[in-house]
Amino acid sequence: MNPVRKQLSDPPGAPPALRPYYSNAVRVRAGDLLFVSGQVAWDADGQVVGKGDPVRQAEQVFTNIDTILRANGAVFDDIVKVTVYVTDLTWFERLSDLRIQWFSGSPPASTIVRVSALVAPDLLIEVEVVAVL
Amino acid sequence: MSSPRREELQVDGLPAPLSHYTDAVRWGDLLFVSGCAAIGADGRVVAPGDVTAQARTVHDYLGAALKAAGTDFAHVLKVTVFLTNVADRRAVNEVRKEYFGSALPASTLIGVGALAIEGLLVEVEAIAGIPS
Repeated sequence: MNPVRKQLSDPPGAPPALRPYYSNAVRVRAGDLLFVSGQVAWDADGQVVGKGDPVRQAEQVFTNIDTILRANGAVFDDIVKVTVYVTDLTWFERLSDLRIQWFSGSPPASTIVRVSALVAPDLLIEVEVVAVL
Repeated sequence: MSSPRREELQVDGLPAPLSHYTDAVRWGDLLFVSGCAAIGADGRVVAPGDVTAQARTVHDYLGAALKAAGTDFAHVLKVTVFLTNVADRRAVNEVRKEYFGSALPASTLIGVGALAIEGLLVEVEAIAGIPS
């Protein structure tokens, strides 16, 4: 692996990777792209935030993404694609209200899907993004 | 600088695509690999009920696609793993370590209600960089 071409990033303050075989982000110097792993409502200690409260979880997810973006010199306006996975869509409007606050400047392309499960049973939402630096 | 060329790749050793897509698409020094699943040359599910064996087949296919484009697991930027049962993630992760070694891609894992063919347990799609 060429360390100039590809840099791994696990910034302090982001929740740790669940297992050691992935990192939170990979920066590609050649394309100036940032791929962010799916983020869930874990705090910096890996503890679930907002059990049973999907909006609180979404706030934590976006905060985690923000931490990772900033550690790589990016902001939410630099996101070009977001994919949102939820276990339940009944709170879609409340999620939309929250997303308007985070994605107000330069809205990215977006996909949202309802899935049968996330990586741990307490989790209600997962969000991944690709950013351009 | 001229725009990169879009190149569709059909990879030897992979099962025929199930519908209107190709195995991978190259754009400049980026490679987008379609979701790989344990489908044999006969179109049937490989190793029904055995998620570890299916995961190995998936990673064999992914590796073939990467190799066809002149890249490898060490240059994978992002994977998305789809499981019909998220409890299988530990078994899949053991296989993943075998193929990725020390390289750590960005990653998302989700449980889904179904994959393309009944009996498939795991699907993995990837975006990779192609070294110059």
